[in-house]
Amino acid sequence: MNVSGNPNGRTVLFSHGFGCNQDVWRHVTPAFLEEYRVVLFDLTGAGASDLAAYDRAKYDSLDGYADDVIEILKELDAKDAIFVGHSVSSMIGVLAANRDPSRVGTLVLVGPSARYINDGDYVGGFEEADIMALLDDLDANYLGWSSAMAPAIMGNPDRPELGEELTGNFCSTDPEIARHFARVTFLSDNRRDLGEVSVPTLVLQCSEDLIAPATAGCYVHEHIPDSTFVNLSATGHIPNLSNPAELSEAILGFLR
Amino acid sequence: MSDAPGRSTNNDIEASLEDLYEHAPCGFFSTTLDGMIVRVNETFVSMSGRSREQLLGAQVLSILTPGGQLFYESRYIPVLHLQGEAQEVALTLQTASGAERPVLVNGVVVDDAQGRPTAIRTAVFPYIGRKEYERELLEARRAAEASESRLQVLHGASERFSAADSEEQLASELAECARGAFTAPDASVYFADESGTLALAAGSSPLAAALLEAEGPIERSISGERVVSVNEADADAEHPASLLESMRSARVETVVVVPIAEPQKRFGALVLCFRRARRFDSHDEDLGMTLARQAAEVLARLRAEGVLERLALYDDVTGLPTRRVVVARANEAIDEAHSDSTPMAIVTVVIDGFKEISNTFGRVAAEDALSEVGTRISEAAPDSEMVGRTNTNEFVVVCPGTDAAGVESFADELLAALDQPLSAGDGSARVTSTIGAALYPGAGARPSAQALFESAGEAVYRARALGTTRAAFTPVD
Repeated sequence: MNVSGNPNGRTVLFSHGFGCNQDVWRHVTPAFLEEYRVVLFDLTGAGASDLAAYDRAKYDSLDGYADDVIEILKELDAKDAIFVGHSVSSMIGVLAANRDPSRVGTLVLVGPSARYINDGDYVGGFEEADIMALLDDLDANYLGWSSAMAPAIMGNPDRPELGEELTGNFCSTDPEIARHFARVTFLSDNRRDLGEVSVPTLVLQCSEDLIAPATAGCYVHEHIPDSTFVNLSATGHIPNLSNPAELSEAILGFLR
Repeated sequence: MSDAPGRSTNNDIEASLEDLYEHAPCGFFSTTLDGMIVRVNETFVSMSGRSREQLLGAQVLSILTPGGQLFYESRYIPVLHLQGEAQEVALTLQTASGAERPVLVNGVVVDDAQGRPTAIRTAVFPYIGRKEYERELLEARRAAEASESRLQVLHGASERFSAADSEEQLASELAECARGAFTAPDASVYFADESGTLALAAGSSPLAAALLEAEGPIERSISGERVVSVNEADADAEHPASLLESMRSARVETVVVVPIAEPQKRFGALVLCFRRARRFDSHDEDLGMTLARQAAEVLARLRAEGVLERLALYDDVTGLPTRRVVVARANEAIDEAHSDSTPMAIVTVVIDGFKEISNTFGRVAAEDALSEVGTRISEAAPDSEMVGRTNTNEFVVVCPGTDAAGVESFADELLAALDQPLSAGDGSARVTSTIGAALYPGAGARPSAQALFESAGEAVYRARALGTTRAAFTPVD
C-alpha cells in the first residue's frame, strides 16, 4: 500500500482492475496529490501483494476484496473516503460502500459492469462461451503472466525511465491466481447490489468500450439511486492509461 | 526460383524495404494508441482472413474473438502502456467468416520526435500447433496437480479428523478442510443428536434456518445419501421458496450439501455456501463424499467412546453415578466443608433382599427393584446429584452441610422410604436396609474421601453385627 499527497486531505483510494496492478493509476494520481490523501494498493493476488495471503475461498467472490477495502480504510483511520474503482474494482467498491458507508463515502466507478455476461434483456456484452474463451487465452498466455515479461524490458536503452520504474515483477503474478481472479471477475453478477448503494456515485463510461459497453455502464447508473453519469471521450476500457488527464478532470469535477 | 509477379528481380529483392515489410515471414500491423489499425503488411492480410480495406481504419478489437478482446484490453494494452513493449502474447484472431486463428504477438510502443508515445507496432506469428501442444501440457499438469491436491486434502483431513477428541473439534476440522478444498467462502457442519435433531456444530452459515426446513436441502441430502446442489439462478420448484429467498438476501448463489453418513447411520451434513454460481462435478462430489465419510467414521468412534465413558461413569441399571463419580463429588464436598468449616457426611446404604426377588420374580424384576431403590434414595437425599451406586447392593449419599442431627433425620426418612414394599413382577417385595454414616465436622485435618467411605462402610458392618438398621461413626482426626 502506498500513501501520498496531502495528509490532512480527504482520503481517495484507487483500486485497479483485472490484468495489472496499481501502476495503471500512475498518470491519474498526480492531479490529486495537493488536495487529497492518495492511497494506492494492489488487490490481493496482484502486483506486489502477499501471494501467500491469497486464500482462494475468501477471494472466490468479490466480497473478499470488499472486506479488504474496509480493512485498509480502518487501518488508515479513514472515514468518508472516496473509492475510485476501475473495471472489476467498481463492484468491489459497491460492495464495500454497502458494507460500511461511513468508510466509503463516495464512489467513482470507471468502466463499471455489474455483470459481463448477457442475461435475457440485459446486455453485458459477452456470452458465457466468450468468458470460457478468455480463460483459454489466459492459459495460452500462462508464461506471460509470471516472469517472462519483466526481464524483456530490463535495460531497454531507448526507454530508460521504464527500467527505473520496474521492480522485477512488473504487472506479473501467479498465472493460476490470474485465472481464478478472471473467473471471479467475469462470472460475477452484482446487479442486485447496485440498488443498495446509498453514497454519492459517479459512473464514468468510455467510448467504444467493448469490455464494459455503454449498456452495462447505463445499467449501473440507472440502478444506483441518484448516481451521476458522465461519458468520457477516451476510447477503450482503460482511460486511466489512454486519457488520464480527462479522467482526472472528470473525477475532480464531480468531487468539487 | 521464379520471381513473384510484380516483385523485384532476385538481386534487388533483399534491398527492397517495402518487400521486406510486405512479405516478411510474420504479420505486421500498426495501430494508433487507441487501437485503430493504420498499416498492415501483406503477410498479416492473408493471416487475418480479411481484406486490406477491411483492416485499415478498423479497431484491433474488431478482428479478435470476444475472449481475445477481453485479454487484449485487460492485459496486453496495460502492459504495453506501462512497459513500452510486450512479448509472446497469445491472442485469437477472428476472420471475416468467423474462423478462429490463434496467434502469438510481440508489440512495441513507438515514440514521436518529442519522445511521446504515438503508435503501437505489433508482429504476429501463427500459433496453432504449439498452442494445442502447450494446452495439452497445461491440462495434464492441472489434472496431475488436481489429483495430488485431492490426495493431500484427504490425507490431511484423515490426520486432522482422527486427532479430534470432541465432536466440536471434528466438526470444525471438517468445515475447515472443506472450505479449503472447495474454495467455499462459508462452510458449516451440522450434526444430528440421538433423536435425529440437527444442530450447527461448526462454521458459519448465512442461511441457517432455511437449510433445516422440511424438504430443505439438508433433509434431501441426508435422506437421499447424495450431494444436493441448489443454484439460486436456475432453481426450480422442488426447492422451498424460503430457501431461495434467504439465498437471495444473503447473496448466496449456490448451496451444496454433502451428507455425513455411514451405512444405516445418518450423522448430519456438510454445507458449503458459494457467493457465485458453482457447478459441482463428479470429482468434487467424490471428494466431498469421501471427506464426509472420513468424518463419519471418526464421529462413530467418538460416539462409541462416549457411550463407554458413560458406562464407566454411570450405572446402567439405576442411571446413578458410579463410585468414580461419587468419590470425586465427595472430595469436592470435603474441600468445601474444610474451607468453610461446615460439617458434611457420607452415608452408605446397603440393601439386602435382591437375590430373593431375583429368585422369585426373575432378574428383570430384581433390576427394576434396584432401580426403584435408587430413585427412593435420590428423592430422600438432600441433593439428588450426590447419590451413587457404589457396589452391587450398596449406595452412597454425599451430604454437604449435614451434621450428626441432620444425618439422623435423613436416616429416618430413608429407612421409612425403603421400608415400603417394592413392586416386583406382578406382586410386591420387601428389602432390608442398613445405614452407616461418617461425619466430618468441618474442623481439624481434612480427611480423605477414601477414609470417610471406609468409616461409613465400617459403621454399616457394626450396625449389622449389632442387628440394628443404622449406626453413625465419626472418624477420629
